Amino acid sequence: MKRTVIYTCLSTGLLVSICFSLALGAMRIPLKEVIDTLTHTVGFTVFGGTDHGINEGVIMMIRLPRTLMGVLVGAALGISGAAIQGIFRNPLAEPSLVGISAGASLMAVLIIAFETLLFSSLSQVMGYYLLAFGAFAGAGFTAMLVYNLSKVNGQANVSTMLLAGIAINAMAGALTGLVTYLADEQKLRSITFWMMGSLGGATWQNVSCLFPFVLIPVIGLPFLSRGLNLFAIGESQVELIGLNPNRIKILVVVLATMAVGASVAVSGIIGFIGLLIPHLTRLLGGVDHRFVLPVSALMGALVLTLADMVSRLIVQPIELPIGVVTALMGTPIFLYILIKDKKKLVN
Amino acid sequence: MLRVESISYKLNNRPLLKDISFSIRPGEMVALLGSNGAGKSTLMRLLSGERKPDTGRIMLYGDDLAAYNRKILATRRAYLQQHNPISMAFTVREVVMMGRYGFKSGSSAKNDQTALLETMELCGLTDLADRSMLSLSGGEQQRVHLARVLAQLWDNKDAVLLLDEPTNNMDLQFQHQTLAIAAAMAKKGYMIVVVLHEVNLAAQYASRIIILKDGRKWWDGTPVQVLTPQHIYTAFGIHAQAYTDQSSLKTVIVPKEIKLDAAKFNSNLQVLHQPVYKLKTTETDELINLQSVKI
Amino acid sequence: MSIKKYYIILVTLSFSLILQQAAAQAKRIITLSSAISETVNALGYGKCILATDVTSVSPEEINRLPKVSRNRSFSVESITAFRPDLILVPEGDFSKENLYQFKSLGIRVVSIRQEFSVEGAMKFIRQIAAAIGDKNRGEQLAQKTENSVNSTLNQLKKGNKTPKILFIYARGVGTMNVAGKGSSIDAIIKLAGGKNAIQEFSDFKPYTTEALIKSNPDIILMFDFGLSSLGGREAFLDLPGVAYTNAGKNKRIVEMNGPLLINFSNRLPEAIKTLNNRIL
Repeated sequence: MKRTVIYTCLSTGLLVSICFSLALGAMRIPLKEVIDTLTHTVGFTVFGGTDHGINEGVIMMIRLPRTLMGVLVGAALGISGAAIQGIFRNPLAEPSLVGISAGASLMAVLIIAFETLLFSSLSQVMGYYLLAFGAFAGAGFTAMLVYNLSKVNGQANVSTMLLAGIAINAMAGALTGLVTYLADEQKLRSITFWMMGSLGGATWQNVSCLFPFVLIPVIGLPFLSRGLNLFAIGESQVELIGLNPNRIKILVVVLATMAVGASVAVSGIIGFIGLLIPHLTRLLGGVDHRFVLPVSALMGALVLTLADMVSRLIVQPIELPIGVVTALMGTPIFLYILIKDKKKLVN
Repeated sequence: MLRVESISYKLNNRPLLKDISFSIRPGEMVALLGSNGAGKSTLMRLLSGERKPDTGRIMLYGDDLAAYNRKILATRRAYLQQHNPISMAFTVREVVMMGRYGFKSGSSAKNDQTALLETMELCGLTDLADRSMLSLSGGEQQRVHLARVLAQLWDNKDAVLLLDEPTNNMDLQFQHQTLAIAAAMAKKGYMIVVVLHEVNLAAQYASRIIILKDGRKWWDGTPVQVLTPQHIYTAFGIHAQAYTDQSSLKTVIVPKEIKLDAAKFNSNLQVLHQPVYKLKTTETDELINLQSVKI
Repeated sequence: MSIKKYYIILVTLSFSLILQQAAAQAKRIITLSSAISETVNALGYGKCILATDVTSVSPEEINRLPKVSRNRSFSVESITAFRPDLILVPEGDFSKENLYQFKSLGIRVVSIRQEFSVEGAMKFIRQIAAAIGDKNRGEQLAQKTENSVNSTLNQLKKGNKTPKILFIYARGVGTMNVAGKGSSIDAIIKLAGGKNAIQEFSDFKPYTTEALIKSNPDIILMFDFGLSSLGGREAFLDLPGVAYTNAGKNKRIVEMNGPLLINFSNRLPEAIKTLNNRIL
């Protein structure tokens, strides 16, 4: 009952914020025209006028892909944050904190730097897929690395995990810096893009490339909820209760890093969403992953859409890197968890 | 039935278990006793499949544990570990329900509910059902995990239940309640293997006792056969007397008090006119406790 | 065919040609570097500029325009909001995604590559003029600038020896870079009759005290805002190592207006002349 209410509220909230995101921006476009443009695209007419020239272009070519990218990236970061926390058995295991996002961005930067050298004949769309797969590989590799580093006597140890995360973040950050510094600067997006994230580069091409990378995890991960619940009482109990812990672990890591990797490839590192969203979700309706995973996806989409609106609108006509907005929202939550669970987390 | 066929296990070249064999019939409750490092927990880990024996094998109803289908095995064997750390705020009800995850959802929904409600009632958790695990005391958490492993085997009396120090952190009432539950289930056909530190609990509830020492099985038999002063001295290095309680006909072990002079082990206390304090061992304290309840 | 019809066709044709000419000429321009803004202004199209990046600060009427880009961070929609028909941007500042976005909005983007030489400056002017759709004025301005550069170069002061000049780009003590070979600064120093103290590497690299002492410049050159970001002339002379260089000993710190120094377009003669005056 309570959960039905939560689902309804979040879905409605997401729809409303998508509408706002399409209606607001540096260009003043009357709501009527926004609705007109959208309805016209799907095939019918409400207010009559259809040809709005550049306004229609801004809505269809700038705002719509950007909003969709926000929804996809938010859902990806929310659900994969929740899943990775489940596998690590720890509410602080967050893709950007433990270095998974940094691994993805490093791979993406390397691929961009050597793209023309290695694959001179790639088309734009193929290039995006290559980038997404590369970032996926980078994310998956770092996830396994941190997981194995942080395991002490079969239990994931939170301090080792966070320390490993610091090391990997520093290393990947330094290498990303090195590559952006050495490679000819024109080709690589700025280091700020990789470190702070931005949805400003959204086009239909990269959004449609991102789509399957997010859709598959969002559908697939909830099927692993029971297994993730069992991880909370120990990896050995998973086996004893009759589920395959290794299969669950591998599937979760593959699906979660797939979503994180592709997101990082198109939008850079947007931190703290993976921490903030699952935490809020658990506060709302408990820690059962059958609830946490789908709701984190929904709430991630909602929050990132809102965060992107803030980043676009607050310092017009320039925009704030979206990572700044999410970090401002996320760090207090991080500190709150730290203070509240200080004793429990150390053990 | 469960048959252990001459298993050995080494860790980092250090032998932890050497050539252990025994078998358990349905309806038996076996207590594993032994001093620290005797190999009790290691043996439990092998029985639970967490570790594989280097040599020998463990057979459950004629099939090697290693060859079992995971799902089928989960309905025939459950294991309550000594430590069950949990970092997410699952509710008591959710954790107990995890014991049923191995079953196909839907088809056995009614059995799941029955197992959930009955085990929670039995372990005194009904009032705590919606509390977060993180807000419970150690003993309460242990009861939740007990309910969980019970729920896992609730509808299969041919199953084997492994309990590694289940009474950890529990208060006196639940120590007895836990072992009483295990003994009662054994009477209906379950096979129970339980690791205990407290010999008197073992004497009261187990139908059979195995004493391990240095990774070997030393004695195996009924409490009356196994719990003699000589055996206890050999296994634990402590002098004790064994009585038979007249009303229940069960063996009662009374360890002899150890007397120490603090001045002999703490050089700071060797001043002439300083009074000398005597220490009582905790074992004696527990015994007094026990007797006051029993007799 | 009657004469009348012939005239109608002729008139329509020429009319459409005129219209086309008018359509090709950009009327609403956004310029995203100081050199581009200054050049567009010098071509007489300053009034057509709607917005610029933060570095476009001169002349005053350009400085007053809205700034839509800071350190290459900008929003496509904010720029589109000015409804420009032409965006002039230094090559590489727009990602391929941005280029695609503007293309799909039907906004013309021209990426302009700047080469740091006299010929490069003329090419730069002609390219911008071509993008605006007024090659004639471009030709005039290029000619004028080239003549002016030549006469400036002929009238340069010559010292006994070529001074070694180290350029330090500073935005506070933490972020200091020196200019190497092939950079815009290297080129302007050479044109003004100096010699870049750094010959070991190209482009801009982080500043180190040891590199400073090793290069031992006769003059240290800085942007005016760079020097003030370090706390002014006196504070700069107190920085570690500065006192061991000839420049430090003789207190020869030269500051120059940033946009002027790296303009490499219509203001190149002025830049050469000013720098030459200050270093010799």
